Amino acid sequence: MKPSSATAPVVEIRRATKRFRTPEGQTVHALAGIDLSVNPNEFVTLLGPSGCGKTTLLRTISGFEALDDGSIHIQGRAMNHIPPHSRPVNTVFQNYALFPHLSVGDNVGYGLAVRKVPRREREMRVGEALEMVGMNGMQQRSPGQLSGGQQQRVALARAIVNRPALLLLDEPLSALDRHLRQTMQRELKSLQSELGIAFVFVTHDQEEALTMSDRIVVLNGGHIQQEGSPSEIYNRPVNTFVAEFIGESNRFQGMLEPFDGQFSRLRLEDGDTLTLMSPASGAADALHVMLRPEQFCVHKPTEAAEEYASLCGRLAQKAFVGRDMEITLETASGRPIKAALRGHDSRTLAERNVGDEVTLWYATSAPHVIAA
Amino acid sequence: MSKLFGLLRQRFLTAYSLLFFVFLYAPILLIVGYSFNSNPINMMVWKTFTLDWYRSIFGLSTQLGENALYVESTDQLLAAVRTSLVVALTTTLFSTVVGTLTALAVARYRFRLQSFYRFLLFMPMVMPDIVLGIALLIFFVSVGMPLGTGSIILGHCTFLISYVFIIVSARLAGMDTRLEEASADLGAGVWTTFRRITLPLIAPGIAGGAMLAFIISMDDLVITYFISGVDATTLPVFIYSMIRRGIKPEINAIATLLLLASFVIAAVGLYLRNKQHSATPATTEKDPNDE
Repeated sequence: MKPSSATAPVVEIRRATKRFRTPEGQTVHALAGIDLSVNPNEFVTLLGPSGCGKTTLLRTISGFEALDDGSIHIQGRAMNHIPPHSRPVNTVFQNYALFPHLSVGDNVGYGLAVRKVPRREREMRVGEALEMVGMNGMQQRSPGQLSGGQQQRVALARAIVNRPALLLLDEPLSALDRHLRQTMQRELKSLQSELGIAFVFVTHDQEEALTMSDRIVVLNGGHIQQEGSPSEIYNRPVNTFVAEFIGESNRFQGMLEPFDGQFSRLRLEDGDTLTLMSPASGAADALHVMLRPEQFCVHKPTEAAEEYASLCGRLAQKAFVGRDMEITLETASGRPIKAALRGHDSRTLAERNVGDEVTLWYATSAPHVIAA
Repeated sequence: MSKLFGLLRQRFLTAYSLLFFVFLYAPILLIVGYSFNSNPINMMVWKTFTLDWYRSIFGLSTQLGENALYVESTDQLLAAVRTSLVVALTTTLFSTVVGTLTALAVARYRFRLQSFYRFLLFMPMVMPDIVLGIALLIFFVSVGMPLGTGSIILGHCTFLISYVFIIVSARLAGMDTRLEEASADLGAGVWTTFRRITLPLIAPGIAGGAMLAFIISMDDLVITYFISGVDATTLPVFIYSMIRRGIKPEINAIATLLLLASFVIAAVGLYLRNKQHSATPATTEKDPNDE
C-alpha cells in the first residue's frame, strides 16, 4: 500500500492485544484484539469508562506501550519496533506535562530544537503555533505563570508545531472547568479542520465525544463495543453497554408478541406493554428495547396520531433544569421512566404535582431494538 | 482575666524563644568573642582586643611572647587544610556522580530486590560512625591498603554516596515522569531527554547533595580519625589533636574562620535554592485576567 495515497488511512491497527498481570496473578486484557484505522483529517474519539483500554490503545500508538500481539502501521510504516521519539505522532498529555524549567517559547520549540531546525525558522513556527491557539506573545512566560486553560493551549501548540501525521490527545480537557472545557471543545474542533491532521482523542466524557467527533469508538473491557458517527452511536446503540454509557436511556426487556398487522407489542416482565411499529425480528423473542428520555411527549401530536402509544404512571420526581423539565414517572408496576420534556410539554408539567397521574406518549417508531 | 492570661502567655513565648536562641548560639558567639581576646592564660577573662591569634595561625608576626604560641607550625595547619580540601573536593565529585547515577537507576528501572537495594543504600547513613570507622580501618589494613589521603577519600565515599543518593532520589520522586515521556514524544532520544529535561530538573537535588557531601566530608572526625594514618591529617583531626593538649586561644580563631566558611557556603546554597524556587511553576492556578 502506498502511503502517499490521500485516502490511505493514517493509522492502521490490526488485532492489537495487550495483556497485564494483576497483583493477584490474573491476566487482564487491556486490549483484546482491536482493529481500528484512522483516516486523514478525521477526528476519532476513543470513548469508554476508566480501565476500558482507551489510554492503553493511545499509548501503543505513541509507542509508550508495546503490543503483545498485532500490529500498528502509521502512514503505511510498521511501528512495532519504532521507539516513541521516532514516530510521526505527537501527544497532548492529560496534565499537559509542560517543562517547568523552560519558557513557553522553548516548550513549544522543543520538538523543533531537538530536530535541529534553525533558530529563525523555529521562532517563526513557534509564533505561528502559538498564534493558532491564541497565545502568541507569551513566549517569555514560564509555564507556572499560566492558568490551566493557557497551559492546555501551550501543550497543544507544542504538539502541533511539529506537524505530526497524527495528533493524540489523552483526556486533555478533563482538568478544566465546565465552561472552559466547552470553549476548548469548539476550538479543538476548528483547529483540527484548520490543520487538516487526524486527531485521536481519548475521553470518558460522552458529551465531549458527541460534540467533537467525526467518529466515536466505544471501548469496554479491551473490546470495541461500537464504532460510528455520534448520531449512530447515540440513536442506534448496538448493545446495552453503549445504550447505557451514552446519554440517558430507558431500557426495557421483554417478550415480543406476534405482529398484529400494524403493531407488535413487547410484553415486559412486570406486565406493562410497549408498542413497536415494526419489530426487527420474529415473534416470541426476548428483546432489549431503548427509549431516550427526550423521545416522550405529554401532548399527543395531532398529526399521525395513530402512530403514538402511551405509558401511564404517577409523577415521582420533577426537576426544572432550564431547557428541559426532567421527570421520573412511576408506572403501576413500579417501573421508573425517565423523560425530558420541553416547550409546551414542560409548561404543562410545571402545573402538575408529584403524585399526579401523567400519561407520556411516544412514537411507535422510536423504540430502538438493541439485541435479541 | 483572660486578657492578663493572654499577656502572660505572650511574655512567656517571647522569653522562651529568646532562651531557645541563646541556647543555640551562645556557645558559638562565645568562641567568636574569645578569638579576639588577648589574654593568653585565661581566655575567659577579657584583656584587650587582638587579632594576634589570627595572625599566628597564618604565621604572621605577633606581639605575643614565644611561650604564648601553641600552634606548632603554621605549615602543619595549612597542610591539614589542604588535605581536607583535597579529600572533600574529590569525595564530593565522586560521590555526587555515583550517587546521582544510582538514584537514577533505582528510580527509573524496575528490577528484582529493588527495595532491598534501597535499604542497602540507606544503611551507611544510619550506621554509627565509630563502627564504620573501625570497620574501614580493619578492611584497609587487611587488604594491605596504605592509610593516607586515598583511604580517607574511599572511606568518605562509602557513606557520602548514600547521602547524595537519598537527596537526588527525593528530587526524582517529585519529578513527573510524564515530562520525560513528553520529551520522547517530541522526538528527543534518551540522551537528549536526560540532558535537556531530567538533568536540569534534578540539578537542585544534585547541587544540594554535593554541598552536603562537601560539608560532611570537611567536618568528619570520627571515621577520618581511624583511617587517616600518620601522614595525612585533615583539619578536624588536626584540631582534635591540638585540643587534646589543652584548649588554646588559636583554636577559637580557627573555629571562627571555619564558621565563616560554613556561613558563606550555606548562604550561596540558600541563594541558589531560592533562585531555583522562583523558576519552578506555582502550584496554584492563576486567573489569566489578574496578571
